[in-house]
Amino acid sequence: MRLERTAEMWPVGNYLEFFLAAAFTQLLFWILMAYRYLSDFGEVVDYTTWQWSTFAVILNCTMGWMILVGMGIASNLWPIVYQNTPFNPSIIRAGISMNIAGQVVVFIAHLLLQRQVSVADQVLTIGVSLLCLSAFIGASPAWSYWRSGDHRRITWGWLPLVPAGFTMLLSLAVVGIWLEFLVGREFSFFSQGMFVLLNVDLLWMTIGFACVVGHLQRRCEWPLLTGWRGRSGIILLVMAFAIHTGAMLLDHTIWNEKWWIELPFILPILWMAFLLLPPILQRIAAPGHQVYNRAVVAAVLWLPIIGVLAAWEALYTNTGLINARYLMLFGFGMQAAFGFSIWMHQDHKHLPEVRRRQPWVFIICLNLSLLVHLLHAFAENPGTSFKLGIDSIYLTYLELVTLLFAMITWLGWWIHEIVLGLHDWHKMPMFYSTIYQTDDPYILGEE
Amino acid sequence: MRWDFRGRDHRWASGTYVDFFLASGMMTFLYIIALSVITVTMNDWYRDNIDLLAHASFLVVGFGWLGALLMGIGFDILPLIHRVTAFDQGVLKLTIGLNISGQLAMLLAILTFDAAILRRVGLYGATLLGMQFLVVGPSAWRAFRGRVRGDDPVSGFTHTLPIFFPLIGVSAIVSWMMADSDHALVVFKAIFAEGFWSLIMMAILLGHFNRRLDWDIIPSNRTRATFLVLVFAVVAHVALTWARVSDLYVGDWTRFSYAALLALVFLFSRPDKTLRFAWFERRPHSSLILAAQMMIPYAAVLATLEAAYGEVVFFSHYGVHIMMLSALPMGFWGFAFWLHEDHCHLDIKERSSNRTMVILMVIGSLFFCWLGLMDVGLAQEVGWARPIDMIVAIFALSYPAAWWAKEAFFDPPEWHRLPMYYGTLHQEEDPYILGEE
Repeated sequence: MRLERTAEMWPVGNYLEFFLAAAFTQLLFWILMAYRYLSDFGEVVDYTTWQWSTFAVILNCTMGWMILVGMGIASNLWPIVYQNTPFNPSIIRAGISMNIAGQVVVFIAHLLLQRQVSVADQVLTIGVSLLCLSAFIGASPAWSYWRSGDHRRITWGWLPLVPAGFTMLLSLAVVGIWLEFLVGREFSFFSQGMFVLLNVDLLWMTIGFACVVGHLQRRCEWPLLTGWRGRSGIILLVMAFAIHTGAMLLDHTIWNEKWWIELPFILPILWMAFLLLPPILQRIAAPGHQVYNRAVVAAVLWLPIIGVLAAWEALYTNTGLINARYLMLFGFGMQAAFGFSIWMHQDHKHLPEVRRRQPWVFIICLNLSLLVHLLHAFAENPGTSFKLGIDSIYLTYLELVTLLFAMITWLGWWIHEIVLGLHDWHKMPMFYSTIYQTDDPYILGEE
Repeated sequence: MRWDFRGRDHRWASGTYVDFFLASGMMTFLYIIALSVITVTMNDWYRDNIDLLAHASFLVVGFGWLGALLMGIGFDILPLIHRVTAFDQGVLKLTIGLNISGQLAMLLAILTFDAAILRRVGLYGATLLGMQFLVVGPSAWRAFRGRVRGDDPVSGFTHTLPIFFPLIGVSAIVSWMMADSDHALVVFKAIFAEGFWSLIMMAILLGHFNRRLDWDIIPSNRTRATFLVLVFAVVAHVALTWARVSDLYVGDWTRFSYAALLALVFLFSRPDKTLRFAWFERRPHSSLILAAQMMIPYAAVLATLEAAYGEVVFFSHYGVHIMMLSALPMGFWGFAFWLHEDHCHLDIKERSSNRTMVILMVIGSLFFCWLGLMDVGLAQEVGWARPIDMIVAIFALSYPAAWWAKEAFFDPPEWHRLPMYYGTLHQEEDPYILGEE
């Protein structure tokens, strides 16, 4: 064990602030969404204002409360797994406070949007700036880890740094895109594509993938990326991401009319499913009680469904893969990150794996909501003969209510844990703190 | 030795000023080049948008390169003075990053030569510049609580002013959002450009003459009272300005409130003592800081003339510009050069006088005064005065960048992390009390 590093383990255990902040601010986000929905926002304000608002709301979600969960996991585990802490307490404080402030400012801006547009757009600019700053600051330690080569200490150590790199890139890109909007008063088609590509596809696909591998392979020690999967499998995944990126950029520049241009979206999705699902299913089907977080596995199970939906949307609709991206964001990225965070918290409580409580209500409600969304997406499309026989408004209500219930459960889980469940909490988590300990520290086996 | 809140020697931050001063020097150079380009090539646009540009300029100067100097000096010596380091390296990195990016954003917004874009894009710059003052807020509060109590030659200024930094940061952002409102702009200028920086000017003078040179221009037990009187004067000035722009009748004499504030700062800095020590007794000192002190009455006279004869009713244009672009840069750079030479452990009798910068600044300020007198109709209109003034200003404000480039890259002197005076400030001369035996 590298004892000289233990003084640098101060960030371990800080995740509670991030998760609590995420749990509360997501409530603010859902209130904002409800406000937009109930006030017929799209019809009340003009198109430019609606664009402002939609961009800020998406950012509020992905780079607001959702990224807070990612930042919490990273700041908690990276010092242990990389045995280095290249950041200070003020970075953590600045990251959290700017993120919360950004989300609150975006919320306030929406209250002003219908009355004082000129003030509201300035307030939105401040909110977006704060969210970008927060994400950039929060992800910046990844650059230090990469430069100092700390990721080489551990197998697949580079993997969690990839989404952090995308976060930094996204922060800079959003500043540029917002500037373009400030100057030209509209988002160009290319900017829209860049935003979706970085913010939804690359960032949340890689966060989901890193969380699944981090939980099942490292934490639960399941052999996922072994053999050809860990060598050529990963190279092919990188190529799939590269092809999708290239196609997305071409789609938003010169090849918009090509019928197949949206199809490459399914390449990384299906390849991730192909890499992860067989060993996971094999492991679950194996004799003996397997311990793992159900939310993380549920996230992986969504991958083939999202792939099929994306192929259908790309070939038969002109929705811009909105439904596939929605499911990818909430079903894969967010669900995997949330599952990972719950297991990590239970590690801090030193709970034996077999006795761990699964967040069943959250998992059922979230996946039910996503399932309803999926059915709705098929049923609503005029190109399909598939009809549910239920009024569409009831489906919308069912989807929203189950989603709301899932998110309230998530908030309730953390409030319960922090108010009532910290009596057996330890600063050092039970698995990670011993990953550098050798089984035979005194080399007695050699004698 | 004391230990900071993470258990390290409280002196670890000593020497961190270099990045801040280098950044400030380079950004000052960029700023003056940008300003020259605008005033010389886009004169009509400049005149049409003078209020917005002046506001952007205040933010770049005050929160930007002067702000970087303020932070650099504070982070370097306040831990040594108060024996507490209430911040970590993350704060330093964040502050300097926000400072530089904020200035660049604002300068780029200005150089679009489009008022609408400047207003919208400048908000990015204002947010970044304001955030740096918000980021240091918690550290300032911790430093305030952990300060060494007792008589301090700069008491009040060094530990009480920083706890208001978050308010100043928020005011920068809000003021930019309300840049269309004359009312808001005037009140912001009264608070920040006129009030806050007058207090900072006094802090520089006391820091150099009272603490560093130990001239005792104000006895240590009276500095707190001086601080309180000046704070009261600033509050009164802001209140009078607000009353004036809100059309509350408070008399014509209120137009002179800024000149009165400057006069008070000048008198409290005891020019009789500083001039006597500097000129008649020939004690070593920073010529730049002394020149900065002498610029204060000059700015006060300009502010008085403007109030008496000018059309500018709400705030002093030329007076405040002399303070922001001449007195404060001289004071800050004088302090910065002196601090750097402390880190080089250079004997105070052998230090550079920086006369070139003093002379250029004085000439530039005289030309600027001429422009002011032309504006209020007290001097004849001359077309070449503005370009000449800009050329002199370019040379004067490029001097710090050149000085730093020479110190950092071409002729680096022997440098020590702990400065020669501040590093031993709390060392007792007779730690084992042998003198009593």
